[in-house]
Amino acid sequence: MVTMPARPTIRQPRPWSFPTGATTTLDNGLKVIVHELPGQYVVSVGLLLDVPLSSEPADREGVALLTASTLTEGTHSHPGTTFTEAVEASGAVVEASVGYSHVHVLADVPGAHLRPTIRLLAEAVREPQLLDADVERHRILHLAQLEQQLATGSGRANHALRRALVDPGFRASRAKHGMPGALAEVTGADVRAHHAATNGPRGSVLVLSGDFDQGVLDEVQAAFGSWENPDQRSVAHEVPTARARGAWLIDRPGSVQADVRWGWFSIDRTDPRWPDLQVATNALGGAYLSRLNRVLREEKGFSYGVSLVNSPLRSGGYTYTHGSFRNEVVGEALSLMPSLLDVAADPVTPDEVARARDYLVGTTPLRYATASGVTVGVLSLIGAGLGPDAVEKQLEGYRRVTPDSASAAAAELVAIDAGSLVVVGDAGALEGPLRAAGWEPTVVPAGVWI
Amino acid sequence: MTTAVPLGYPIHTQTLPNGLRVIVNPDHAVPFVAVNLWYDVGSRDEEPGRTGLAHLFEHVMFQGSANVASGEHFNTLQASGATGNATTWFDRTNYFEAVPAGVLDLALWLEADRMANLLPALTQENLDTQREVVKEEKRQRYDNAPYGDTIDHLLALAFPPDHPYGHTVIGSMTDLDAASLADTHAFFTTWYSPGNAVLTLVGDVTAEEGFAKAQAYFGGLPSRDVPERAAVEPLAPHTGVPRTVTSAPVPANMLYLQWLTPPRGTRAADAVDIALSVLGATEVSRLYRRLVRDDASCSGAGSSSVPLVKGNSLSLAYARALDGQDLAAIEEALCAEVARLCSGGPTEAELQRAHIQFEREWLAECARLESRADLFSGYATMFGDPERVNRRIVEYGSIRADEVREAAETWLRPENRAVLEYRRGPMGPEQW
Repeated sequence: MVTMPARPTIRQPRPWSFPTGATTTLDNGLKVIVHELPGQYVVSVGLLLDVPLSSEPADREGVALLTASTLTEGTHSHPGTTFTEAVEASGAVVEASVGYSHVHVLADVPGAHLRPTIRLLAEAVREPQLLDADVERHRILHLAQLEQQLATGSGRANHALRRALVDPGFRASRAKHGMPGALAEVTGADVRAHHAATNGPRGSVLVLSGDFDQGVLDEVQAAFGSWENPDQRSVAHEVPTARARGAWLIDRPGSVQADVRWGWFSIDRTDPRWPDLQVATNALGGAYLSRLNRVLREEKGFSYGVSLVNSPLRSGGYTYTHGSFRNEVVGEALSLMPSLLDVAADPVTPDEVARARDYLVGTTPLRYATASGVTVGVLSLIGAGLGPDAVEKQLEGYRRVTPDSASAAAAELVAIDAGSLVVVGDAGALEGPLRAAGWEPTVVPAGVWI
Repeated sequence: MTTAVPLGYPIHTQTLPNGLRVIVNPDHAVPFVAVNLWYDVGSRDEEPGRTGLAHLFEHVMFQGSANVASGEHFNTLQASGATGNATTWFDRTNYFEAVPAGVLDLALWLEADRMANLLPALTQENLDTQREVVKEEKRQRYDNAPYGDTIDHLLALAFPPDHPYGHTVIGSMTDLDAASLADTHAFFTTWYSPGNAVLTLVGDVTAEEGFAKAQAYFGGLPSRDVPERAAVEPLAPHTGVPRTVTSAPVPANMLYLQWLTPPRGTRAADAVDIALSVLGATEVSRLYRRLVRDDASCSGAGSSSVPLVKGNSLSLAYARALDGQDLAAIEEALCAEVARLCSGGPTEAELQRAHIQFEREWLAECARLESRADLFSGYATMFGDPERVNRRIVEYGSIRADEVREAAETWLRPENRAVLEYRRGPMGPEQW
């Protein structure tokens, strides 16, 4: 055996602070935030449109998804594929995506080619063609992707979890594609109407991060300064609530593993308990040796990994256990989980709080170490309704968490006598073990949606 | 136009007397250091009947060493504000963590202890538990996933079963069950030595500090001989269009065309890569235009590759058929597009797009401390030249259109393809 030097102690790193951006507002109302990041040669530009999915007409769900997908399929200035060819010729990549509370259009590009890329990004948002043929192709592609997602146990479980936790009266209870068949109703005219009613500078934010030459604001002004849309509607963000508790066993015949989600409707990032929940979640199911993973993976070998995850919405959110287990051990895993999450019997300890806090605080600089990390991170915080000081406030919040506050948040939000269960797997093999573990699941045949 | 200037990341290298190669790239933008260790061992080094051992071994590396308890390595680093993980591939096993600068000593000490003193902690119990975890990983990623055995079929088309690349990294359930404690001990002794590893530090550390710390924690490890490996001769291109037809409950018919192409690191491999990019990198590439936009027979089409260091890499063109579309017609269309590239080469605009898109992707890889460190370790391990990371954009950008055409004609001829038809078997009822 090799004799090692003494185990080193940890030194405090030099202080780090979030790279504060310079904020300006153009005359048309577009807010612009620039983060100068020396050495970041790939710059990242992101536009947030304040367009929640609840802006979709009830009988046209999926129109926001199709609109975002088709934005980059050609503009009036660069029709058809000449748009993407121009983007690629600049060394850029431009992508639009929808979330439940907003739309993002993101571009990454070597800094030397920023100018054409900003203009192309602006074109995609301001003057997309949105042709029937492109909308039709994207509908087919989305349906194929969805079919692919739902063919996996994990994808099926994630879709069902949303249904299980959110009251069906809210848009957030349904996939971005809408309910089955919804996409089939959406036409090119619907997409164009949705775009006409929702694009515009009001409520929009452009975030730029990277190593910039001077004059980046001139480029922004040139690309976006004349952006106007008198028809732009403002849509209130919905405030979802929980669905009544339930347990569903979704049949996936022949599965050799079961995908398990035990979840709770919980809170968003503006809730004062958010730092407490984050710390508790890390201790219970976030860290490598969290309570869940230590027992179910490292001691029992039941799973490749078991975690507890917070997935915040703009308002509310959900918290859920995530794992897959071979059929033979699903019952035992489900029987163990409540005791592992029981903070009334075993409160979160000072050591667990310290470890979770140091992880969450310590890794923050790394999340914002690249241009795209800053742009995407800032857009996410703005989309959550948080201000420019959100990162610093979050760090302060983590530092204030105590064992009592973490335990209280977990007891309330991850209550072991509550929560809904979704299991996707071979129902014939799993129903008995689920009942033995104390659940009374509704067995859902493969083709049925909860 | 691509700017095609070399990058200027300062790279300092040193080799310790025991053979450990150390690379330091100071970058003080954030108070973090990426620590990255490549061991020059992967699934290609496994013995017959012991497939999956390199990856299973990666798991037991987290089960403690003489001075570190089981699971403590990762747990301690996380609780110090670090992230990390490890991966196993055909040609390597890498271990990495990004740590706050004040945690660098601890991270190096943890890595050194398991390189020096793993065996006292490698027990039957640890092995058995991680064997179950790895089997769960195999179920989750492959056995319970649609198309999860695609790589098995592609490797079987490309390589004989006893070839170093003739089996998957995850291995077989039978072989995982057969792996003994003695096997894992022997694997460690054979491959996990300072002379078979590269340690890279990127971030908030100077070269002097980095070398001093590497010496302090790894300098006491004895050197061990690294086994000589037999050379892997390149295989001849496929002939007679070998074909595998399989079916399973998957949502759509998939078609793969496969070629044996030059190993990574060669100029010919870059030329093939550009050819693949022109064929199938994005939604304006030739295969997507033809099959998704024009023929409307597929919901996806593109190209990819499995870059390998020894003998050959694998190059792939693929298409995902829409319901009711004829795979034979899709195959014909794919072959026609490939043949057109073989005879005509790329347009100047296509070549420029491939060059500049590579530049952005490479710059983005280098922007993250963690991935930059992995590139340095990789280029040192595979090619003995970490400085090449700085030159890659120029290297790639210097490939000319005629070289791409020639590479396509040499390596990607339709008659030299192998084919995998992955057909949709009974799915049961619609998913929703």
